[in-house]
Amino acid sequence: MSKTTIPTGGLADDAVEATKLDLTANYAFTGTVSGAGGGKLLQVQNADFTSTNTTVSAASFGATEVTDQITPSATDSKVLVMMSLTLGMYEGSGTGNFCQVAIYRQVNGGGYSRVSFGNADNAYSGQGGFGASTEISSARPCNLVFVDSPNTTSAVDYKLYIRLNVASGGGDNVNTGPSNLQRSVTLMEIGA
Amino acid sequence: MENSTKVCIAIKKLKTDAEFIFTGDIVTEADFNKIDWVTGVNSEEIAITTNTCPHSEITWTKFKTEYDKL
Repeated sequence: MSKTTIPTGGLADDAVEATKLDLTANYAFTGTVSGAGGGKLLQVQNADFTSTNTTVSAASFGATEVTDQITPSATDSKVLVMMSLTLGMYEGSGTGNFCQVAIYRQVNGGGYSRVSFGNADNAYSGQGGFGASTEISSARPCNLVFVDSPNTTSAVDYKLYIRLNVASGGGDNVNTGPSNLQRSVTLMEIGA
Repeated sequence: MENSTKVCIAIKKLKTDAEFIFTGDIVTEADFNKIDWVTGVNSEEIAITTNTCPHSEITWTKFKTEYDKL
């Protein structure tokens, strides 16, 4: 006799084990699976830039166009921040090109503060050791990955800031790369 | 040579230690007037800027003259 329905009480708690339930098979769920535990990817935001770039000739950080916004759905969500670009650097007459990058965050338009130091807490990244009075034009791939806990459900902006090591003659300017080279920001909200 | 590099060279010729930030190309006087000139730094190490050039050595006319030599 075939059965199409088995009442809940008709199965012992340990009646269905791995030998009966094929754990290597694929199962297609048509409903919502809840209570699965672990992180869940809740949303992805992405912004690509291929036109106007930003040039900074300063020892303090300047904002760039490399930015994107995400509004977390829960205060305990984490945000995975990924930025990718190629920095351009120029020194007219010196011994090297050195710059720093950092990710800044703004919550609900309240002003930017630094959340990921990139290389901004220690060394400057770049090229050095050239002879005096050398004209140096260089490009440097830059990939930043940072996990943030913004603790808010308000809009959160993440923006790339860049600066020079002007004090030690490390360059005349740093920019976000040639305008035809793609820069990108990807933000992923991961549920607790 | 990229426009941004030429802009920096031209400005540095007028004032070596001038600090500035700009977006896009500087081609016209209107573009020049959008340059952010650094006047200080805040507690987050972000540049404090103004669009009014604080350096008497740097004007649009002087900048354009240097730029056109490049």
